[in-house]
Amino acid sequence: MGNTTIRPLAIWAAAAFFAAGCDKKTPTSVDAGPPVPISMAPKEPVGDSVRGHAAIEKYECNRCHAVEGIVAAAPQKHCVSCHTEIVEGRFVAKDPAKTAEWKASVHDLDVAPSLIAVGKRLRGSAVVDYLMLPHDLRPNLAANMPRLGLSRSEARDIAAYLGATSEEDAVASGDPSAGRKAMESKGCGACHAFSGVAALPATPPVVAMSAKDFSAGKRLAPDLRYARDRMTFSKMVSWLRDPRGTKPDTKMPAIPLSDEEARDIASYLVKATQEVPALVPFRRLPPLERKVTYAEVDAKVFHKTCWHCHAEPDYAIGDGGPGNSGGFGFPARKLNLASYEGVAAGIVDDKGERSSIFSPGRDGTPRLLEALLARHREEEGAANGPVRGMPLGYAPLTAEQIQLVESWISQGRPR
Amino acid sequence: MKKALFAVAAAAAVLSAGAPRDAAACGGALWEERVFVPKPSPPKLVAQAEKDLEGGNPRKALANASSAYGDLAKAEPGADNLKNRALRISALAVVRSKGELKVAGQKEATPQERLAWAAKKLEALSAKAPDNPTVEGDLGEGLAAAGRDLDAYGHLAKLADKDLLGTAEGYSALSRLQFAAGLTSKSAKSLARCEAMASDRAVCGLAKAPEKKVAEKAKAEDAKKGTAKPGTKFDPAVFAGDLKI
Repeated sequence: MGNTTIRPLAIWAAAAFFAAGCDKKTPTSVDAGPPVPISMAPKEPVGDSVRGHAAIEKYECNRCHAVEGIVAAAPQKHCVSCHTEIVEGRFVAKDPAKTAEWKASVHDLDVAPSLIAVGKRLRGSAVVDYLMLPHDLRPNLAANMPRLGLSRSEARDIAAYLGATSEEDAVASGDPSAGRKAMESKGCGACHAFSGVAALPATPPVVAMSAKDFSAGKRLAPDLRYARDRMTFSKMVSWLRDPRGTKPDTKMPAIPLSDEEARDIASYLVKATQEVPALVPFRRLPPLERKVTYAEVDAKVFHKTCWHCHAEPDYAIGDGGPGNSGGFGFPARKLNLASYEGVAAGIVDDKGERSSIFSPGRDGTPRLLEALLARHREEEGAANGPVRGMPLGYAPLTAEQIQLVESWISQGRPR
Repeated sequence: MKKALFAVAAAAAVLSAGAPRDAAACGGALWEERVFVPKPSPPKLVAQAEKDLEGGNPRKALANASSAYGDLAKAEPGADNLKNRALRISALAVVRSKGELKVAGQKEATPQERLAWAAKKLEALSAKAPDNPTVEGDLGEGLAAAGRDLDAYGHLAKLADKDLLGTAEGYSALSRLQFAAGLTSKSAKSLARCEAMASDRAVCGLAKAPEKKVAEKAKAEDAKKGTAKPGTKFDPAVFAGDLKI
C-alpha cells in the first residue's frame, strides 16, 4: 500500500524535475529549416485595451515613447525631450553654466522608438515577452527598455492597447539566399546588425538620408536576429515594401524593393540559420587591496550614474533629474545617493520599511551589488528573478566600477 | 594752517589706503577696479557647510551655514528644506564641538546649555522627518552629547541593528553607550564600524574615553572593596547603578 502511494508521487516528482530541467536548457542554434508553416496559434491571450491605456499611464511609457492617444509627459518629466534639448543646446537652465555642464555629460536617451502602429508591425506575444524581459534589442542605442514592475496580464493589456494582438501569418514564400544578396546590395547592414549570421556588409543604404535621420535610424535599428520573433512574415513584407506607409514617423527609409525582393528578404530573416551567441556571463573582478573611499565611489559611480534618479532634489542643486519620488510605476524608494549619510540611510522596501542597501541578499551578496550585477544579466537576456538591474534601462556598470563598489563595501564603506 | 595740513594728510592717507597695489592700467591712477565677488548662493553655502562638517571642520561648517541663514539660533524646522539643512548643520556643529561653538544670535550659555539647544533642534528636525535614518542618527548623536543617554541609545541601537546608521560619530556615541551598559562586544563592534567609516580616527577616539573612565572607576571601586586583582576584567553589573542606561 505504502509503495503504491509513493510511486505516483515519485513519478510526478521525477517528471517535474525533468520538465524543469528542459525549460532551462538553452539551445545552441536556431534553424528555421525549409518549408515552415509559420501560421501560429496565439501564444498569449488577448489583453484588454482599456486597461492597457491605464497601464501605459501608470508605467509612464509617455516619458520616453510617443504613444497614440496618450498625451506626452510634461517637459520636466519627459526624459527624451529633456535630453534632446540639452544635446541640441536648446535647454534653458537657471544657471547657464549648468546647461553647458549637462551637455557634456548627456550622451544618450535623446531618442526612443515611438509606439505608433505597433499592431501593424509586431506580434502581440513579442510585445508581451519584451515588456516582461527587455533585452538589448537595439545594439547601437545606449539606453534600453527598462524592466518595469508590470505583470504579464498588464503587459498583455498594453499590447492590446497598442493593437498588437494578431499572430496569424502566411507561409514564408521567398528565396532566402536571394534575400541575403538583396540585403547586402540594398545596404541594410549600414544600420542593422544581424547577429548569429555572417555579418552584413556596412554598405551605405541605396537611398539618400539626412545625417540626422541616418544617425537616429542607425541607433534605433533593431538587431535583425529578433525579427522572426517580433514580426510575422506578412507584416515583414508589408513593412519592407512601405515603412512610412506603415509607421509615418519611422527613420527606416523606403528602400526600392519589388514584392519578390521583399519576400526574399523576409524569407531570409525568418529562415536563416542563426547561431545563438554563447551567453558569456559577466565576470567580476577580485576586490581591490588598496583603500577605496566614498569620495572615489561617489565620483566614479554614484554621482556619475546613479545620482540623476536617486538623489533628493534639494541636494542636487538644480542637477536633479526625475528626483527620488518614484516613477515608471515604481513607488518612491527615497534612496539618496547624494551624500554618505544618504547612502547609509537605505531605501524604503516593498514592506514600506527602511532597509539597508548593504544588507545581504539571497546569496549573501549586498543588495546594492546584486542590483548592479542583475543589470548585466538583463542585458544578456537572462531571466533575473526579483532583483531589478540598476541603472534602470541604462548600460550596466563596467567590471571596474563594480569592483570599486564591491571593494568599498568589503572595506567597511570608509568615508 | 595746522588744520589744513591735517586735512591734506588725512586725505592723502585715505587715498593711499585705497590705492591699488599694482598700478592700474590708466597711468597710476589712485583708484582701482575692485572685483566684485558675489556671495555664494545659500544652496552652495549649505552644501559647502555639509562638506565642512563631513570633513571634520564644525567651525567652518557653522560659519557657512550661518552665512546662508543669519537667524539659525531661533529658527525652527519648516517648509524650507534648505534652511532645515542649515539648522541641522548648526546643531551638529555645536554637538561635534562639544558645545564650544556658539550659533550667531544665541545668548550667552554654557557648553552644556548649547548642547541641550542642539539636541532640541535635532529633535524638532526628526519630528519633521520621522522616517529618515540620517536625521534619526543625528538625533541620537545629539542626545548622547547632551547626556540623554537612554534616549540616544534607543535611536542609535535601532539604526545600527538595521545597518542604517550613517556616521562614524553616531557609531562612536553608540560604542560609548554600549560600553557603559556593559555590552562590551557590541561596543567593540560599533567601534570597529566607527573606525571603518571615519576619515579621521580621532572621531572614534571619543569612544575610548568612557572605557578608560569606567575602567578607572572599576579599579577604584575594587581597590576600595579590597577585591582588586591585577588583570581582573571589569564587571559592568557592579556599576549598573551609576549608569544612565
